[in-house]
Amino acid sequence: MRGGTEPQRSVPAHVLVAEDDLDIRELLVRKLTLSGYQVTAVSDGLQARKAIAEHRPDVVLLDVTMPGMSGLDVVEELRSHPDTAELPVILLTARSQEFDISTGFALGATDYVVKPFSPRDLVERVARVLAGS
Amino acid sequence: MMIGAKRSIRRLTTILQQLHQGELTATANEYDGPPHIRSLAQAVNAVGHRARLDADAELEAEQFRQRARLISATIRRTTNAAQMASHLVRGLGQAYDADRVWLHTVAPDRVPEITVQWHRESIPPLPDAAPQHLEAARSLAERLWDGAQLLTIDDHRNYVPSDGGRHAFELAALVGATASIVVPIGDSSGAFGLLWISMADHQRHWTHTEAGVARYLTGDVAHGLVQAHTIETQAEAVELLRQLDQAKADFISTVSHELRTPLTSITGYLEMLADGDAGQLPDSALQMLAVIDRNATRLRNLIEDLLTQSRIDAGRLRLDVTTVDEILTSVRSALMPLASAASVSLHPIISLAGGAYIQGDVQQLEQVFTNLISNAVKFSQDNGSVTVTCGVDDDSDGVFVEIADNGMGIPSNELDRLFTRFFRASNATAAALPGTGLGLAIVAEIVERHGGEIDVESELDHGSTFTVWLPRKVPLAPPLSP
Repeated sequence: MRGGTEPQRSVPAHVLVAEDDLDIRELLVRKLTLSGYQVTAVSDGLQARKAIAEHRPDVVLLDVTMPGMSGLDVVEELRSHPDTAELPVILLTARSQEFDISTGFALGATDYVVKPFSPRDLVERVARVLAGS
Repeated sequence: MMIGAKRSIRRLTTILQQLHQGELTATANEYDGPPHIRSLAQAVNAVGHRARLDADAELEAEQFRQRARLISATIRRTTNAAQMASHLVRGLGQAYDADRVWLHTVAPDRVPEITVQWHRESIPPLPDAAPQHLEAARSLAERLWDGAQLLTIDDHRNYVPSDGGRHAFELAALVGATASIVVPIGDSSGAFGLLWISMADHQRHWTHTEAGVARYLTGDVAHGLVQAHTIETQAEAVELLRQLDQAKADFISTVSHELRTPLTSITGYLEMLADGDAGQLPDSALQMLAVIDRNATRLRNLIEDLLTQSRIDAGRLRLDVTTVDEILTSVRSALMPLASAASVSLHPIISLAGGAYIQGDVQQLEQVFTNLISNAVKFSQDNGSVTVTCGVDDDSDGVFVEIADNGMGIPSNELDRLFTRFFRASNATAAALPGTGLGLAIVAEIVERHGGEIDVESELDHGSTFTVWLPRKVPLAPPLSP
């Protein structure tokens, strides 16, 4: 499992992607689907919150800068509910501003990726986060 | 008879010698001896009386000059124009025993705009001057300045109708003056203000000393006003530059971030195509993709460099995981020479518990503790002692650093302004300790940007303790480079 990109489960792990840029969202869906994950994609924080409640994903990829409710807002809320307190969250940020990142960690993000990112690396991180949870 | 006259003359000689030696209380007996001796005694007493008057006048003049020197020193101690002007009018009012002293500047482009008055409690203050009165003041100031004149008017009722005098006459009615000294304030480029010392209900003879001192002090104030104006103008220019610099940094930062988003799709799909995620591609296509990839990388590096530059300009944070112990130890060793030069003991860092990990910009955090510890050293007297303690704060799950000194302390009513830019504690300023008033503002800003907090406790003459809390960071495996 370690170092591999294929989830070793009978049922594929479910990844929720929340990203407002259409092209990046589709890129993520393609790459993750090709890697064997079940993917649900939404385009803002409010939808992400709703989708998490409905689908109970195994891991969440959250863009930091989204209209309505930011990725940071979503993490904070997830951490405040016992059901989702342990849900792995990877933040995607277009700002390399480390300040965002430290805020993200402070709020309880599991990992982060700075745009532009390598889809291959991202999939590896998803696998690692799932293996750790 | 001859013998009596000789004796009287000997007595008068003694008196004259005493007067000559400065014993001004010596007086001759005007009722002793024959008439010519008596008139001689009267003449000697007249000389003595005159000498006493002169001595009294000289003493009074010296006391007056002494008061003037005090006013001058007070004026020179401040760079705040308004404060300077009010020191001057109050000081002059008291030293001259005047009824009213009034100062007005008339060239807002060259010196700060100031209208300030002092008046004896028994008379009402002047109302705010109307524009035409200010215009009259400006015109009078210019006339006097150009003629290198000052006006001393003993009695406004019968002042000689000279050019300056006519103008002064109109203003005197407004100021309610019965006797005045009017001095123009200016520099080599011309007049920029007017000082008016006046009596309200009687005539007064102004001495040369009084006129001279007024002119001298006005010169001090002129210098101070020009300087204050320069400082103000410079501060405005610096603030404008700072805003422009910030706007530039923000702009570059925003543009760089905006460029990253489209680049994410470009490089992402490039990688997927090259990885065969869309099926095996012919070599010719892979070669073309390699060119696109190389140029996308180039573009990305350009964006990164641009952002790095703006981050340095704007002082943005670069985060590393480290322990506060490490930062404090390095800061302490850098400051040891300063402490030993000041004869202050800077004790080894006391680390209460290991694992005080934080995530932060090491350079900036070093700045924080350098500022705090060097302050602790600076504000400690000889043989002072500075103790730095750090550890994990169980209550907040943060990391704390405490810097304690036994120095001069901070007045309690100034503590809440301590972290304001350019604020300096009054006792530090009074002790003429060097400083810009920026050190603690920078500290507070950096701590806040790290999601931390800072607090201070202080007792005057007993020392201060600054405590910094930073969020604790449990180290993760280092993230893969993007």
